[in-house]
Amino acid sequence: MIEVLSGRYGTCDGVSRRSFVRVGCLGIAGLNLADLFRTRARAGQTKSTRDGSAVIQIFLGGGPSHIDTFDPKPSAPTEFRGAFRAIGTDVPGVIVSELFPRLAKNLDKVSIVRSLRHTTADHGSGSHWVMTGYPAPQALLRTNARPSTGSIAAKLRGGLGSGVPPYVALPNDPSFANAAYLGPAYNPFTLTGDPTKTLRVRDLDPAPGITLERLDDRRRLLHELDSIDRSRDDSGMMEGLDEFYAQAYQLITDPKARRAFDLSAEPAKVRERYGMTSVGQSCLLARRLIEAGTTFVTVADGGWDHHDNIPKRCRIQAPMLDSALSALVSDLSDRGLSNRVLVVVWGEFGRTPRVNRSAGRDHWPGAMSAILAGGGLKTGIVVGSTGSKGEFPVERPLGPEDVIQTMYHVLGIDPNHEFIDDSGRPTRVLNQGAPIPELI
Amino acid sequence: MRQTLAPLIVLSGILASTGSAAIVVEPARLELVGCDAHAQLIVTAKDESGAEIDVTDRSSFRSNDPRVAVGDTSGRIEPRGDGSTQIVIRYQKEITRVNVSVRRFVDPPRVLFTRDVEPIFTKIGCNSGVCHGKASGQNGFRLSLLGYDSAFDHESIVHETRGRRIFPAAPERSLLLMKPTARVPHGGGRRLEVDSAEFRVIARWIRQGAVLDRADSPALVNIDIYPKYRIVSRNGVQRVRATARYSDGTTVDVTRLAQFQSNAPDLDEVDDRGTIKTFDGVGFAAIMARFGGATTVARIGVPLGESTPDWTPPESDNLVDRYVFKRLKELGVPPSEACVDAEFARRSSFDIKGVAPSPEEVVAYENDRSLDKRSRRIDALLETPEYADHFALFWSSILRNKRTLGIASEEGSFAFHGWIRQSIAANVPYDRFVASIVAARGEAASNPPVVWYRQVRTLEEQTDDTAQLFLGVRMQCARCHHHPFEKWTQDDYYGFASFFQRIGRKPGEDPATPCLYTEPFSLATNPATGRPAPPKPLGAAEIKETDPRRDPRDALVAWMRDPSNPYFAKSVVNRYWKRFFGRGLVEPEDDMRDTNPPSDPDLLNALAADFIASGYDLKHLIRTIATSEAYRRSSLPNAYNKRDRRNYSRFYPRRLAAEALLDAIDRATGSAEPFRGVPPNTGAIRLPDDGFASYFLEIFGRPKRESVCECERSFEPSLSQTLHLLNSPSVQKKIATGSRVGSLLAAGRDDASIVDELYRVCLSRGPTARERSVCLKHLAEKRSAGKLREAIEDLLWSLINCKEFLFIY
Repeated sequence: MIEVLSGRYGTCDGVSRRSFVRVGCLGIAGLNLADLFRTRARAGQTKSTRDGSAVIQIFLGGGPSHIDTFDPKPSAPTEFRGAFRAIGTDVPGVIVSELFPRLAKNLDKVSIVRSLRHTTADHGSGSHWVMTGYPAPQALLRTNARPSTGSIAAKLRGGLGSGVPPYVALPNDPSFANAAYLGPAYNPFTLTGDPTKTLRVRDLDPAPGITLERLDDRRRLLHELDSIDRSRDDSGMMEGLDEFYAQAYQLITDPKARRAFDLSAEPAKVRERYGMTSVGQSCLLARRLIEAGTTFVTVADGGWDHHDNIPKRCRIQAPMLDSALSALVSDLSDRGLSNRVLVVVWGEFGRTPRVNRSAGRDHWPGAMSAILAGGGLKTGIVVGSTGSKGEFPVERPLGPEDVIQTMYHVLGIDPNHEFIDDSGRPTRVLNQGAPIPELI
Repeated sequence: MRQTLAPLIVLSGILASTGSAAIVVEPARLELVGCDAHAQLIVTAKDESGAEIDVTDRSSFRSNDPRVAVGDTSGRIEPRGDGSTQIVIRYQKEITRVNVSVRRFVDPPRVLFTRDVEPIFTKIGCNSGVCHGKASGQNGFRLSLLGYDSAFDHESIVHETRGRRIFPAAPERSLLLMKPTARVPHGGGRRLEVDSAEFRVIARWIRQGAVLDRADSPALVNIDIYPKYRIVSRNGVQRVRATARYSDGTTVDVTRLAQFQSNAPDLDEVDDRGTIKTFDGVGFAAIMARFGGATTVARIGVPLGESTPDWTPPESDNLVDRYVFKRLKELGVPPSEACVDAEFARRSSFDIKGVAPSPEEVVAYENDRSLDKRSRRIDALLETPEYADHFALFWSSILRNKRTLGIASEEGSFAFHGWIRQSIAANVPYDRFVASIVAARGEAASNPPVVWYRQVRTLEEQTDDTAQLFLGVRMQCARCHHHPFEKWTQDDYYGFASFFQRIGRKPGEDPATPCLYTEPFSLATNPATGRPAPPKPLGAAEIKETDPRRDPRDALVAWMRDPSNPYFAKSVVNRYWKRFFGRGLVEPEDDMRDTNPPSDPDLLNALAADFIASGYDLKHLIRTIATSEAYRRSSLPNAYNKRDRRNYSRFYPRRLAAEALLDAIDRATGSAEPFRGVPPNTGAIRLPDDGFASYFLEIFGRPKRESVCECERSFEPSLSQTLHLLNSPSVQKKIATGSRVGSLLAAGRDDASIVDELYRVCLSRGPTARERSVCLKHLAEKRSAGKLREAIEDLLWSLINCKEFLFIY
């Protein structure tokens, strides 16, 4: 909730931060929310702010096997190769697992990073790293110690349109998607319910017994009665609430804003193309929200923690992701959004190259893959590679922070922007890694 | 913290102008040793009113002998050759001279690594926390953060990677100089100009052998800043100069190498050459100068500088008022009027009890004509059970009273909360309250403060939490490196940690809470030196432990409670101040350090002294604060104080905390939020720990109790909050099914009395004529349509959603 800068203690890349000196610092030094609202648009964005850019992050919770998905090893011994064949794609020379036939036909629209790795093999710490760019400061962490990538985007970029929130998590609240010291205002906006049936925005539908007409009545009444002199408050808090009241009304009453959340407005054919699954419908909703002005959507697709019976589990789960992802990528491309919207698909780690005795694979942070598509990045390429058995990167070893730096690059967020954390320590948006040059 | 303000010049009023005053130049004479020495001159004149103004940038600096020394337009003097000369300084018609002598121009003294080289790395950012100074270094080159460890840095630079960073045969071509000048690719870009003074110093150091200083080399004693104190007009400019004093008695101008930072970025900013620019705000700022691990501050006061109507401070013998209104006089800011009685009744009730006053209370207070009604009201509020509930919530949050292990830890966290609440209700002296927590031992069942150690588990957490919570000192930085803004070293940190080193844990009767006992003698180890650190309070001498059976925490507690302790009382006084005034005298409230001084040091000192003299009486402290005229100011600004955010010239509104807001809605609607595991009607404020899931409390910023910082509680607005307040089924349910609407209907009341009651229960005041007519019109329309219930619901809904409802103002 606090950000401040000392413009003088320079940043490594020589970018001047003087412009941030007077930003933020709610509480710490007396600048306030009003200032924040006024300056937010300027702060934390690089010179080349990419207006309109957005990110859809699909987080494969549990950690999918890299070998069984996007980094197949067809010539490795059986105990490493696993149960699935590799298939060719529409990019000559690039193969993926046979579980992704639709994606294979759209591979020219995406890039694969195969040389990711980090060093922590527990779900919490790995997820924290992937969701924030920072390793968890302690094991068994349950909540964000650092702000999630989406929270940073919400704070520094805000939303693009009226009515829809800047940062949304689908289908509901994933782990480590929160804002930590940026404050709960930058937690993701979440929905409740099942996306295949009744995914809905909390408090969006009028309460029982309240018609829109009556709400309108109430709003008029409130407008007349809410007359406390705003000049009493110079902190921006009242003004901020007023702003969010206006947004809330718009969301509730403006059919356009509401429609962004309404999947039933999509033709059945489109919904089916994404798949009538949680991940499919969430991806479709993500696209709708981005179109309406949301900046960052995290789609959580859990259940990838395949310690046993990968042949069966993957055959169930992978096709849902294949449909959702290929539909999303081609849809964005058809709608001319692929320059503006970056799609990132990854989990908290890869899985052990050697298949275990239960025909599963266990946690393996030594190698993992990610898919990046759109956002004006290069597509149809593969960055880095792992060894013949998929154990470690042999070429271009990269970390989660490099992928997140790439997201910030697309979003036009300056990774050197500093916040003050709860202990008063200046903390950069991201202090390690670099945008992946092969993709830019 | 100990510094006091220099006497202030009252800006409006007294006028000492005797024609044009002479200019004053600091320093009065200069001695420059070596070719790279330099000095900043500061020229001060007096304006018509007699106020001192910086005219350095409007003066000219001409040397009588440019072969000896020259000056530039900014007042910086550089040597050109041995000898003596004068710099002639001219400002308008005033002329003054500064003698300059230059020695050893061709034969400069030996360059010392710690004194001369390290500060350059710090100034140009090499060893900052975002570059080579971070724990992992940058691209394989690591320096200690801000140069706190010279031996380490010397090793990195000279010996690491087989010495490739230093090239003695051609010092200027050393990697150490190629990189920052960007003559080879450097991730950090160009930080240094080839052949600048800094460049030459580093090159000469390499040429002289790139050695580490000998143990008897001159060491930095302290740094000084000029001016220490100055009144600067709004949108004005003031330069400062920094000088370093060394153990060999020399004093060197380090303005160019020091780093500067303001603690009030809304009031002013300072650049890397020590030029302060003030903005439009009014108040006091501290400009920190930092050099070689030493810090000092200059205090800058920015008055309003407008002619305002004459005003006299309200009559009062309250300690707080003596200072607050004096400062406002000095700053030339007229305070707002006193607020009206109903506002005061509401404000004091929320701040002390966490709940709105009853309508009857407000009326009684309004009708009370006695002179001491405010102090009687505060006294009465302090005797209510709600006072204890409200402050128990505050302390439980920062004491991190959590259900760590789910339901199993409930027994402990409930007991600890109960103990806190009881201590507050009984007004246990604060020093005893803290001593019971910090030195807690034994079983949680018989001694609930033991539960604190269940959540604050590690030696580091105990060190950090104790220092931040009870002393207002943030030690976390010194865990891994010298504190960048403070004097604390790792030795200080681990010395403090040693007090907690001997806490033993064994299974207790309560399976979730260990029993604490004192282990045999042992000390914390400073990981940097590998040496054990004997117990040492902050800024005080080591405590020699004589009896190995004694728990060292007893000695810690004794030091904390000593009336001469410089942190203990001020820390809590400042926290409580912030609860009533919305802004700490020190801000953030738990980051008290020399480089972040209070906005009014005299006031904080006086309040702390009074608190100690009262026997650490928390109710006395609240009484002093809440009965002041200052606390009674209206939040409505006058023509002059709208932008005042730090001098308490008016009341600063703040949103109700999550728990208070939920309870307020319940009271207004006549409903009760059900929480599992506690009796009905418990209310959010009275919840004993964090284990009660609530979407409402979460979105309105209830702290998760993960950290000791009060800042974990959030007041930021969000879309989820507004959607919830105006459109959620749960708020609508409270409105529709709570007892309020029903009772108004059942009583067959007339519309005017309905409106009156709604206003009084929601906003603690009656409606204005305009509001009454709006409401009556609404009721009449709906009543005739047979929708009276709906109409009352709508009114209640509207009032709950008014900013006035959501804010203490």
